[in-house]
Amino acid sequence: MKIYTKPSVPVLPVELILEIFKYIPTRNLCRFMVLSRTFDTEIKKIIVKRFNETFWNKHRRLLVFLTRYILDLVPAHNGFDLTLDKLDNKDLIATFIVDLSQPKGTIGPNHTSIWGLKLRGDGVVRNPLNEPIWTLPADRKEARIYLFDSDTDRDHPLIRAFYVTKGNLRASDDTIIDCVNCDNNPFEKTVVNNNDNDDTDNDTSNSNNDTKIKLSNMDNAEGWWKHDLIGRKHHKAFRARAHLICKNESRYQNEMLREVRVSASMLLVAADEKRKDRGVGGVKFLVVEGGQSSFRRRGCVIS
Amino acid sequence: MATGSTSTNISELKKIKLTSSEGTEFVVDKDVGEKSILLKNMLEDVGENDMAIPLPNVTGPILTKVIEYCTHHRDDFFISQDDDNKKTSDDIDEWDSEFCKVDQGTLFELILAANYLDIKPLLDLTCKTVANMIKGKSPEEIRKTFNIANDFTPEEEIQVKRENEWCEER
Repeated sequence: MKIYTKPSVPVLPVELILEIFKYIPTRNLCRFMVLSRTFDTEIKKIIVKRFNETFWNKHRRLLVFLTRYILDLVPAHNGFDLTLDKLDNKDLIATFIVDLSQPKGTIGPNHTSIWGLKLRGDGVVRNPLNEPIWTLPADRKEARIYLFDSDTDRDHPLIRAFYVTKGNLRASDDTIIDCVNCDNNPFEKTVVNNNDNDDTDNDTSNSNNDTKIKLSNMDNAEGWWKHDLIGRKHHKAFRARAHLICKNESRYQNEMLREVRVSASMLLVAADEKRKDRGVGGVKFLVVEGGQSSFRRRGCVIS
Repeated sequence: MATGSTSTNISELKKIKLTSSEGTEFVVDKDVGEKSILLKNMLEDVGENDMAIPLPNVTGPILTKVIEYCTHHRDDFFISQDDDNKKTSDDIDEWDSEFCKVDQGTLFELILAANYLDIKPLLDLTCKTVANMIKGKSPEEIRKTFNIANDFTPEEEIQVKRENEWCEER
């Protein structure tokens, strides 16, 4: 009887396995973080390198498309153009900020004028970018996040938006962030309202219900975020994919998006895969001023 | 040899001797051998002589494959991909793809040999081939393939999995 003996396969050292991993797309690479502690650390280094090579480019930007449903019925939209501010190498969280000096209705370092946002289907949104949001606490809100490249010209008036993620935003007046239902929500709860009172209470003791985190001051957002990452409810809190931080511009609930924190890996996947938002109401293109004529030529309906 | 040969032709005809780990001697054209940066540096250091260069980390069958690769690519100008931030495994040409149709053990030995001999294009090719092999595999399969020990506690493993749960969604 022939006995089968498995041929001995040489064991590759970690450095050579990592050399192989350099050719693995980011989505797969993230799944391999669970291999061992060493690979968790080393894969993070690969992701940081990829992120730095891809995103430290002033034209590589984030579009946040907010939709609020007035009285739960009528949708109203706002778009925000954000630029990369920093990357947390340890937690792989990238922070993007709104440049408050950016002229309204423009994008990128060249202040390219934007005519509107072309949505999937026939919709077009003409609201200028980076305008404050007029909102009520009870309004239901959702956000979609995209990547785009603002390096364009008149000959290329349609800038493709690559889909990153989306989710519902919910926050009450006292900015209780309720994580109870996080499992059903791709975003963890998000701070949209900022209480103007300078109450420095940042109660994260969670004595009664440790799935709630109280945040009452904008300046405490950093503390709140840290709590999310290291707190007792880490697992639930970490379901967060992006945190949008807004600030009230006035007492009339005029909110302005200031900052977005989002997983660097997720951004890389969006860039690698050039993902499209296939959802209804998803953004397809940013249309540069003058680019609207290309829709008419193509026989598109403009709403 | 034709008297009117160019210096390049003379160089191409020069031979070097290599000895595999089992002691088998291989005679190869110098320009083929010099695709290995290790051999190139050694030849520059020791100068021309008839001594065989011992390669104790490379077996005969693997050295045969390495020589086959270097002979096929003898006229190629190897460009380092170190600065290429878009490392992709999709750009393997037909000959290279056929060359890499070997069992996993041979492929891993080729990686080790390419790394030892410092033949960057062969290292890139073999790494890309393995990358293509493992893209769809589960972490557990990857551990088996590369003999990786899981040193996470069960709680830590669950946590890392949760952090990357989004990767499973399309």
